[in-house]
Amino acid sequence: MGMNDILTLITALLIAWSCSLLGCFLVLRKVVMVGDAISHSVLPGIVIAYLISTKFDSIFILIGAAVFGVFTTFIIDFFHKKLKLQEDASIGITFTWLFALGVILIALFTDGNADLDQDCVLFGELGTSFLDKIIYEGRVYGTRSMLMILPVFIIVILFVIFGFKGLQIMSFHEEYAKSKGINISFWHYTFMSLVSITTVMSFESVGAILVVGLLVIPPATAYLLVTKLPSMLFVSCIVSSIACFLGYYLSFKLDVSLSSMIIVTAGIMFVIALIIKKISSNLQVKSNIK
Amino acid sequence: MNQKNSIEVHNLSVAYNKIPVLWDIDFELPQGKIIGIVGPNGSGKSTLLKAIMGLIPLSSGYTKIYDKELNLVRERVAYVPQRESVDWNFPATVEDVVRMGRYKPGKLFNRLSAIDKELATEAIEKVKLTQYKDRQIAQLSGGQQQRVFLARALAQGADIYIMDEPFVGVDVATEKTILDLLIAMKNEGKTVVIVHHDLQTVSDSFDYLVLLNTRLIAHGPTKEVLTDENLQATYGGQLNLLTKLQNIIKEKDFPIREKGFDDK
Amino acid sequence: MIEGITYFFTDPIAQKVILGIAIIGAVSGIVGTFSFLRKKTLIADAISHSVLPGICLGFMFVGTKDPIVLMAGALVIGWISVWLIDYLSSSTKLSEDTAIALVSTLFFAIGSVLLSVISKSQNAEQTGLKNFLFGKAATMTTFDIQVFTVTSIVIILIVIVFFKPFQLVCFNNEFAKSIGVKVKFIEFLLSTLTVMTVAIGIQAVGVVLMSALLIAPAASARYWTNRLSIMVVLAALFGMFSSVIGVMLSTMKNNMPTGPWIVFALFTFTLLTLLFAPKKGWFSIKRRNNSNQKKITEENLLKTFYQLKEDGNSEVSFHDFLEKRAVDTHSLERDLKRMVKNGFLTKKNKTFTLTESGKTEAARILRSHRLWELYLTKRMNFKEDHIHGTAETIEHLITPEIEQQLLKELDFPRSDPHNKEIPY
Repeated sequence: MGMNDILTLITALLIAWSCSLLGCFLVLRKVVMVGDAISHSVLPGIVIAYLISTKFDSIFILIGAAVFGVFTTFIIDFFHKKLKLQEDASIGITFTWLFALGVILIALFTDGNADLDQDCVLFGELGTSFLDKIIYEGRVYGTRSMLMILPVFIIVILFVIFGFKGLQIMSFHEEYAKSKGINISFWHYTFMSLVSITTVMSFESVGAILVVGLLVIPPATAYLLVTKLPSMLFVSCIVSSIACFLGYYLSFKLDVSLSSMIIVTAGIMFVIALIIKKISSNLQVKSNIK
Repeated sequence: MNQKNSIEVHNLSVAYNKIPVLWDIDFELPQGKIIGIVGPNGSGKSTLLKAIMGLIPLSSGYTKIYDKELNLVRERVAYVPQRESVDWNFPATVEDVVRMGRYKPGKLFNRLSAIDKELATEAIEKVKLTQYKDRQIAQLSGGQQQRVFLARALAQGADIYIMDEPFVGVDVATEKTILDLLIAMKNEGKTVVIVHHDLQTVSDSFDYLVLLNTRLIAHGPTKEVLTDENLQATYGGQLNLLTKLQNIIKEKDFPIREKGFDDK
Repeated sequence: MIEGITYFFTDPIAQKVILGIAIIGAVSGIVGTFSFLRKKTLIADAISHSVLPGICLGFMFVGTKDPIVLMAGALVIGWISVWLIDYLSSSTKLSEDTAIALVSTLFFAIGSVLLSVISKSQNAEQTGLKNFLFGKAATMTTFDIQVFTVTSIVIILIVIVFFKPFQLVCFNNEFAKSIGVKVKFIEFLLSTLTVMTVAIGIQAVGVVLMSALLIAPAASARYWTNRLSIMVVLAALFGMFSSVIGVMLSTMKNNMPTGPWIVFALFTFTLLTLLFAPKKGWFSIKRRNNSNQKKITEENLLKTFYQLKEDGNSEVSFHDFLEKRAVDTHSLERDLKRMVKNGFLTKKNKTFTLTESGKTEAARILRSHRLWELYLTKRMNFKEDHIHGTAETIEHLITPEIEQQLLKELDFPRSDPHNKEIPY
């Protein structure tokens, strides 16, 4: 395992953990598809910020695209509550349109520029991220991707740890929380903003489709297996970690796309968890009957 | 703080999707009693509770608790929503849920203190669920789940308890446990307001009643209120002019209350 | 620009593309209508993402982009994904949205892996496969179009034959079951149609944006009609026009994918609909609110005039009026002017007087108000100090029919709860 492998893996892990942690709450609050929508909708924000600043490290990318992400929830609400469109259609129309807008902007203004093309948008370029190292005084401090994700990961983990009770009560029983005077709007929009920011940061590495995979599959796997929320968060990270390592290894062995392989590996773990769950509940039923 | 009333509802109207669901509701409730809110399906009972708890917007009127606005006395009121308002597959144990009763707005970023945890444990004891405290909530029976909600409310240490259909889908033993608990609470001076569907239990255990069918039919001590005439008006199912007008309001998209109109 | 457009209709290659696109757009609109009504549009989105591995497998099987094989692959995997979503949401504690996102992403990832396997092979054919991601209508061959046409005809025939059961299942599942409709079979059929539509549609719009083609035409059509048959036709037309316009727009630059432009056109249609549709559109709702407001204001003013007359004041100045009822002076001036125009008032110097028709109308409203107050106290047990508010609202809604009923109910009373006379 060389330096490049380690760098790539660290990047993957940071993204995976951020997504698996936030994803647990998307699953529990049953708003996964809104998370899916956000991950698609940030694209035009990214493209516009890129066109304005012409480099990716700009903080404006982060802010602009994250704003777009939260904006998405407002647009969905607008269609659903003001224009009285049913919820699933509100979500579907919003994100497909915003995503299409992003692709059009890319096609019109970037002229096949390597940094931002359609493939990259969908699949990311985790596999080549190690090429962009940050070198200072002769020592490698990581890659550009890594340095973008690291602060986001730190914010996410701090939020999940310190905001645990708020996230927990909001996900379990929103109505009850509201009756206690807890500011649901604050928690909701802060959470969605974090999802947007994480999505944006992950975009370049794993692409749009696969961000959703990391947001859903590890949490869903954990959900099947555990009975307490802290465990769910922990197992979710374990699952996504294994997905990163195994996925990396397999993509290398089979010579296929890295980000896709990570998701497929996560999917395999989900299936295994599903089978375990089914077998154990069958056994339980049988022992109850005896 | 010695007001006569626990809860006051004045000129309350609530519309849902433009259809008036509660129409000019007006009553005061005493303290230290077990109060039932009774009426047929769709009569607005749950909506009334939600209006009192500030969970839905009002078309007109106001509610007061201990003669004050809800936000000033929130810690003194505990809300127990319907059991079905939660997905019981959520990864949490009985203890986890009851402890949520101790969460306070503005203090969510702090850890729970030892006192908080102690109060939660006591509440679990009061509802007789101590042996289940580490059990995942999906593995509980309906009656046990209801008791978890009640324990959560008790952990709050409130003075008024507002409960939405706590006896639905609950076994007889649990019903008795809960009822005994409510009577004990009443004897401690707490006020309990319950939306209930079964008239039999009502006449035995409730001190005070509110009969509701979109509009207020009657309210007062149980014996006075439970007359044939009142019951007929509540459950009779007559399609009166009010219902006709409800439909016109919806069709024409009419505002349920005129803008700039002030009630004395 | 004009030459550009005519090119589309004369050049044989362009004609072919337009035809293919139009068929896809129309069929998507039709099938999408049913998904929309059943609120299953996000499952359609999952199907769009899921078929990618099916297409890749089909390709790997025969080595060429044979549309029939690719479609077969898409169909099989599409069915599996629908079944899997249903299984996960009903047999595990996962909710439907989790199941949809999970299956959707996982299958897409598998498809991406297969795509990267295919890319490595030297097969020249495979270069076109990437077009399935965002759509490239220009790559459609005549054979493709033939396959689409046949598939579309099959789909349309099924819709026609099964229209009644589809309608029942969409609007009233329980009722359908109770009268013996084989709901499970119909749902399976609808899913199959969706999968088939996705299989042919992704060539135009691509995998990622296919769901837009299924949702947007149907959502737009819903705002124009309540009847299913009309909705289906409208959705077909919206889908068709958006697709054609989208393809035309995509030719503005070389190598542009068609998908996003079609979505763009779709969205424009939808937005225009949501704003301008009669009855349910935003502007329509605003207009209705305005006219309701005007009616309320006018009737309230008339009532006030009548009450002033009852007090003995027939020639009313601004000042008199404002003493009786406090309103905004600007709108008052405007409203009084309108009422003069409508013939309810006459203006003399600086005072206003009720005309005969004004008197009749005002009496009617006052009568409604007072009858209603009586009804509330006598029949509804309302307390006397709480009836005024409701009556102020209801008086504007009492139709002649309801008035008759009230009069009968209350036995033609002479005075209201406040002992004011009821004008007849």
